[in-house]
Amino acid sequence: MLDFFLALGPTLSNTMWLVGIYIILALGLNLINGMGGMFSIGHAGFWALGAYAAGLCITKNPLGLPDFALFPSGLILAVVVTALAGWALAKACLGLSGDYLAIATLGFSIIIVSLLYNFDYVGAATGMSAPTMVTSLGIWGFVVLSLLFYGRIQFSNRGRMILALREDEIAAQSIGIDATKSKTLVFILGAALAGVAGALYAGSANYLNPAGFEFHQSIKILTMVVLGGLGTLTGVTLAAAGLTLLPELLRLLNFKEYEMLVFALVLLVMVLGRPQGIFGPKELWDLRFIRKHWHPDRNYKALVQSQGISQNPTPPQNHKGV
Amino acid sequence: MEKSPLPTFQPLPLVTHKLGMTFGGLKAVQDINLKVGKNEIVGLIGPNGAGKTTCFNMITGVYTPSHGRIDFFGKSIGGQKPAAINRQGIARTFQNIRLFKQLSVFDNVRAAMHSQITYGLFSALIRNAAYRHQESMVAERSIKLLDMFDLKTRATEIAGSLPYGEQRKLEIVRALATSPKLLLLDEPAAGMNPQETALLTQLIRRIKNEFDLSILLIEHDMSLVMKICERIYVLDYGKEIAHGTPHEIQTNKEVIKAYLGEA
Repeated sequence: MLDFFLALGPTLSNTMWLVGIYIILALGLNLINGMGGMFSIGHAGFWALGAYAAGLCITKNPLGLPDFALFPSGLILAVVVTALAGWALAKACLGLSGDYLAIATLGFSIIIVSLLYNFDYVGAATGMSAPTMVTSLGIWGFVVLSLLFYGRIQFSNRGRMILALREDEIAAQSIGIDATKSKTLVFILGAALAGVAGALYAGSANYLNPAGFEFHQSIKILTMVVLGGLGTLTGVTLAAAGLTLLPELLRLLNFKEYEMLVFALVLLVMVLGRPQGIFGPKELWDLRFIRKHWHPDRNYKALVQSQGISQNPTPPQNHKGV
Repeated sequence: MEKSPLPTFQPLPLVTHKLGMTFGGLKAVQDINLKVGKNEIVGLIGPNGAGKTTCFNMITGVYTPSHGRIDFFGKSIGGQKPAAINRQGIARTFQNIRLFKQLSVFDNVRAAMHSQITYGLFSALIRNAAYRHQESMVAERSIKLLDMFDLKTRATEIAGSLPYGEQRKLEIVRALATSPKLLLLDEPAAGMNPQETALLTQLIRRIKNEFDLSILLIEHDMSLVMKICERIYVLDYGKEIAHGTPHEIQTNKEVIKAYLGEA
């Protein structure tokens, strides 16, 4: 038992980089699944694409860039490639509804991983090693940016349009909202966030191989989003952190081989028992002592203050579930 | 149709010409010629299944008409997408309320004002002056609109938690937030008690006057229809069986037959 506590500190600090990456991944999927209400189960495909795009830039340096420019160029390439892939997938699949869209995204991620397995230039099944380019602190800087990114989209005109489409597509169209445009955009943005996570992963994991991006990773990210509460910022961030630390704790307790079982159980219990996520629709800024001073939507806050009657928290919560 | 007293030299808000819709072999709507004049309230009535909502769905772009034309201020809009049609100035409510249930009342209205905002995604991300200015402008307008309909005190509540009558009202407010020139109301009084219906009657009149628009409404509540409609079209089995002023409709034999059956 003492061993466990002695090992806890180093384990936590050694995992912080990965926690940050999973938070960014979960936020990206949360854009698509939570805010957009489109059921995607292929998020690891975008992650892999971003990681390999950045990894190629860093290790092969085809443009002969100086060292300091390697990671930034890798990051940009990763974002461009994943955004393009998100656009192409959205273009091809947005006509599909619900389950069919899910299957299409699953197919996409499987295709990406199979390509990586068979592409010798990136090391095929062996993968490729890359030098460390970003620190844990750098990754957490991107986490903060991603949180801002998500929050500011949600509390913008486009965010309201996306939420309206999720709530009722026919009604949203009846007030002039172009479904295809908004949905494509949210898909691109979600994919681009996965691209950022991929670049950060390539710059800090030292080693990329296709096995690290297989289907179970998509499920893991999906679990984070569902556990945290589809469409919430606070819940999903905490769930992503918790579920990244969980396997490390299991390993310390010598339960590593049960990781997937624990994940599946967590997902099952949540969907059955608390489909609205750990905190329901509540966000950090719904806490009374925070709401008094700060709310991401200034006009909403002003309205609440002018009336002094609101008990209800801010909206965005996808109750349609998985 | 030709007996319409309306001037024809300037394009009317809505004119349909031989509008028809077939689903497979079923002729849901046939040869409907509707006219809605400027600042006019027109009723569309008929027994269940007569094709009234189908007409609405064609006018608002939910269905593509199988036959005929729809002209909005002289411009053909038949077959366009619902969002495109709304942007030209046609807004609607739904028979079975379709609010954004999980969003606040405030956001339901703000979402409908999206076209008044010109800032892009990047402005939203950095929250620059354009973002702040336009957001407070839309917030102000939304609150003003909600206040006009006595919904301001409900603004921060979740739309789905409102009582039924207020949900219907919010749907009208949301439609008005898109600044329409023609408003289509699909059974606005459904599920309301007589008092609420009386209030709604006043409300619809007020909307017509204060927002300077035309209204086409489907309604089963005859007290409302007869009170506020200037002209009425009666549909039965997808065809127009009568058309005229409330008084003409009340005494029309075809209409009585359709509603009460043959004597």
